[in-house]
Amino acid sequence: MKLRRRLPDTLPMTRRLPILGMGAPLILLATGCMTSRVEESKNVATGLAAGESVVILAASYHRGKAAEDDFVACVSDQVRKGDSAVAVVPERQFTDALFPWFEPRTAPQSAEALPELLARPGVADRIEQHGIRYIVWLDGTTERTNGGGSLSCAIGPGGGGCFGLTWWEDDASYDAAVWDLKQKSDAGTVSADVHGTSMIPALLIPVPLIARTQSAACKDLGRELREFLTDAGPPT
Amino acid sequence: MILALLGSGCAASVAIERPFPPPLIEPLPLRVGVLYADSLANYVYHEEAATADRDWTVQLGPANVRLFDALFASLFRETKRVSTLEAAAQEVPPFDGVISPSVDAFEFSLPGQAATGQVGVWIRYNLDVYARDGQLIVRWPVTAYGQSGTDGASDEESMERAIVLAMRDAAATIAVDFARQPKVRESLLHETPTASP
Repeated sequence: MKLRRRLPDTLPMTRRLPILGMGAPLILLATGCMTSRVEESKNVATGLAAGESVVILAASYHRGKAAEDDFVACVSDQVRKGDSAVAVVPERQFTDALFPWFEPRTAPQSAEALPELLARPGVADRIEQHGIRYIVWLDGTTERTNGGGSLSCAIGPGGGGCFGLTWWEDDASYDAAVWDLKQKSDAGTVSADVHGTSMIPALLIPVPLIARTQSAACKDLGRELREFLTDAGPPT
Repeated sequence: MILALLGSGCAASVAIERPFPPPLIEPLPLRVGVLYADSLANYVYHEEAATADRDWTVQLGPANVRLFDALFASLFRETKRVSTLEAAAQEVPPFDGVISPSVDAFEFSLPGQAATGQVGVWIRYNLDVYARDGQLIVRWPVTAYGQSGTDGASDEESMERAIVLAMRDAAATIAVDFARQPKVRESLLHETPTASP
């Protein structure tokens, strides 16, 4: 088993501001402070041959916290990008082609159920037609974990303004379980956890400093997942 | 006219337009008559604003017919629509059985009403299975659920996604479990019941 860990990437707004000069602060002011942690655990050697593709699905909502639809779409886009881009079969195309075997109620609960599923009439042929080598199951969520402060705005005949400070913390925590359909096994897991603090200080004008935790988790998970799938190295 | 426009802003209407895929299953060796009652083919659910955030109207009828057409065409070797049980009994060659789905209940919850923060939809279908002479063999209640996040979509779009997932859930349950129903095995498939250990 391979366990690779990269942590934590801290991206404090205050550290980045001086580097980019006077024109950049207005852009960066839209960014809060985030820490991210990405982990990978590989059970078997992976890799993709020519013509092979993957499908990325939200885990069943009957069995926990299925990733949001827009997060699944975002990770799929990330995996398709870059020098080592991976072919991704659209989720709906896959679930329609394999209906009813990948619906929330009927989807296999573990890689151990793959042999039984692939033995069903037509299933293995349909998967082969689409060239699908790996199924990636995404679960997790982005949640508000803390918050406070107060901000009030007023307007009058002479103008208006806002005063105060409000803040909140978000935690985006997602796991991607990778199943190898060729070897009918659990290939491993990639996980991303991004914690971010957003705030809106206001002295007449409110200045939003937003930590986009879900977007950061999508990019981190997508990048690591692409490496996981294409790096043909053995597990360590 | 202004009043009419204001009124339309307080109501939501959803009609299910998406197609349903045929199940990837081995058909059962049965020739089956399919009876859609008007209550299924024209099913409309209406909920007043007193219990929801506004008036909701869900037109499920045509989608019900598309769903069951796709399902039964894959589940059975041969199907044929019939208008009544009496007409089905006159069929030559005779049917092995007649199947008639109906909507027994429809409910939904909006993001503000559920802990999940998502639109949730529950549908309970009754699947009536008749012998060729019109005798009821079994009424099988199939409960289905679908949920969908808002993800920047309108309430109507999220509701449609949740309804489609619930309908697919019902079809998946029927596709996988129909042949496991004891009465179906005994009366339609003529399998001898196995003694429990």
